[in-house]
Amino acid sequence: MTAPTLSTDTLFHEIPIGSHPGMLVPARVYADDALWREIAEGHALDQLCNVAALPGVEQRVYGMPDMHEGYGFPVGGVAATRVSDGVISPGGVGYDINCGVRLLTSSVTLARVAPRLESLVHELSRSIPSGGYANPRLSLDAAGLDAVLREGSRSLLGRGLATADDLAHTEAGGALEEADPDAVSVRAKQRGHDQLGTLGSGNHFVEVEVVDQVLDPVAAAAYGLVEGRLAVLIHTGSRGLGHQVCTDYVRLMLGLLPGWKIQLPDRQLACAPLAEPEGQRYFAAMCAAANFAFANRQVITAAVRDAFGAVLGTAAGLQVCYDVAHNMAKLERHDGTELCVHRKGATRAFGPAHPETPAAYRGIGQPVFIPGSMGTASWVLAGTDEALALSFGSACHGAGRALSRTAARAAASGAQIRRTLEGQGIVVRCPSARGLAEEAPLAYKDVERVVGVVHEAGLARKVARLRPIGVIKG
Amino acid sequence: MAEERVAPQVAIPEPSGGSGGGSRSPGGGQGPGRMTMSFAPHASFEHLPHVGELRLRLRGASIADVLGQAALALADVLLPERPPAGPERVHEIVLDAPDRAALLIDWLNELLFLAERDRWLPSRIDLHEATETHLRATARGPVLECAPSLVKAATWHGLRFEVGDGGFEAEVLLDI
Repeated sequence: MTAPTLSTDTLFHEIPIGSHPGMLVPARVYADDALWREIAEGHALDQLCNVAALPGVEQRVYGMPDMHEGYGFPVGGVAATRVSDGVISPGGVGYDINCGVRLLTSSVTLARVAPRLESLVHELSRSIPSGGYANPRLSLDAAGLDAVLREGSRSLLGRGLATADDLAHTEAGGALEEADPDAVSVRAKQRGHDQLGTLGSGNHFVEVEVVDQVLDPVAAAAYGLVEGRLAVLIHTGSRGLGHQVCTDYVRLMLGLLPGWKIQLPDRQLACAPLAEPEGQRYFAAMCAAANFAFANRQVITAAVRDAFGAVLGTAAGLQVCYDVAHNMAKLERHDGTELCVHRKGATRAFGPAHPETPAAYRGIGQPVFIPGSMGTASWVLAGTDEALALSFGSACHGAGRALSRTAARAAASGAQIRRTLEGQGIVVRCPSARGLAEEAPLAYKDVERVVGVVHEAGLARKVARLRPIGVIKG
Repeated sequence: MAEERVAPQVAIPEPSGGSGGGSRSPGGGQGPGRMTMSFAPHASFEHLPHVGELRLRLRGASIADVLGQAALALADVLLPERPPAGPERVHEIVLDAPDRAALLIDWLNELLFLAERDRWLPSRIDLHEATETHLRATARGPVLECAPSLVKAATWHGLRFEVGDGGFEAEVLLDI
């Protein structure tokens, strides 16, 4: 690949068409010099350039500042394809469909909870199944699961698990209308039927945070963020159900590519024309899995409320600030063209004027969450209208991994990580010592630097900084 | 705390010379109770660098060797930190795929599906047939307290399954 052009004024690196075989559009990566060096070390740039070769890809593909090597798409990659003659790629969404982050704000101060923090984290870990544990309180029969797949969080209304206000503060109201449960295989349903309200493994977590610093008082007030008060971040997705949907459709599409005369540089980029029945069917299945993920985070929200109530004795005023996906393909209109915007490890960052910004946040911009890594800060930002032109209205989804899991384990044991975090006053619960070591803060990029690029590049603007005090890892 | 984990055993249709040659990644460990495996001396798996996921290199004298190593590598990742103690469950697995690389992906994803759906981990696999496009196996293992859910799927990214002078070699990336 030829050397990219650096724009030092705007914090992006441009990779022109022709730098890599098959590119139909240029690629742009938002990064400062230090982040760029990290990104360029692996295969993430090659992967991003491969994405630029997808049929019907529009304008430009983007890499976010947390971008790192993934499979097919890089993690932190954004690509839009034309609905008219483009494709949809399950690999561009990933196996964990609608993996996403939800932030709950509260009326509880750190001073009030501090003496009972250990009990609170214990109660959260006890009431939210993690690792491979199923939810013993909510195994769904076939009709119940189909209702979740069709209606997402809306299916939980009236059951003490969701409120209308929760749904109003969830992307798409927590229910994608295009979902079709019949497009989801029996196998996927078998994997998911007892997983609603569970965290899963890997980098998924529930974190208790304290609002450490407010940088934009107006936006923070709209979001319900007050310095010194607690908040809760929930990071999980569609669990085994979503994984199986991706597995099923990648396999299906690979067999059909020759008939569509589509040649790809990487089989994980398997795709289907959006105009073909298989493309539409995947989209309907993906939306169903996404609804499962919205409902999953909603059920966990109910468990968090119960845990706070049990430990503190009173309602903690836990409100959904927002719930946003970072593994998803969405149909959106940009510059007058209907596009399918794939965000793989990237989140929407719609601004104050965007019609899909929730009503409560018009004039502010939608909340954008960039979690750190257990021992480091997480950030709340606000989407900008400028981001539409900069990145199809997208920002990054986290700090981004810097070390492999093997290297992270070699650097520090789970016990060492636990002691370090506890030394910082952070209470940790994790079912796996190995998992704790693999998700250590040192395995991730510097979140302050990543957020700085997002802010300076205009993808989203800083609102508030959160500091972790309790961590439940998947 | 020492991990007490039990390695799976894989039997292949035509042992390709020697036994007990299965090797593991440096981080894989050799905890108590690990069983001897029936592979060619150079049959092996190892972890290759990848920043976010898990890339495996698998080697063997035959397709069956490589598929067996893939099962071992997967079980090594999925093995719980508490020893399994549930009743045994048996799965008969028959797969057909367009080529051996696709067969490798289908094999791993089949094991992942069964592991999660049935809260199960293979501890013995009998590979009755393993050709370029077809596999027939019996997999048995304990039912676990919870599903071994660390691996989401075997992906097609960078997938290769090649034959050379030294036998077969494959690389596959697991989504963690």
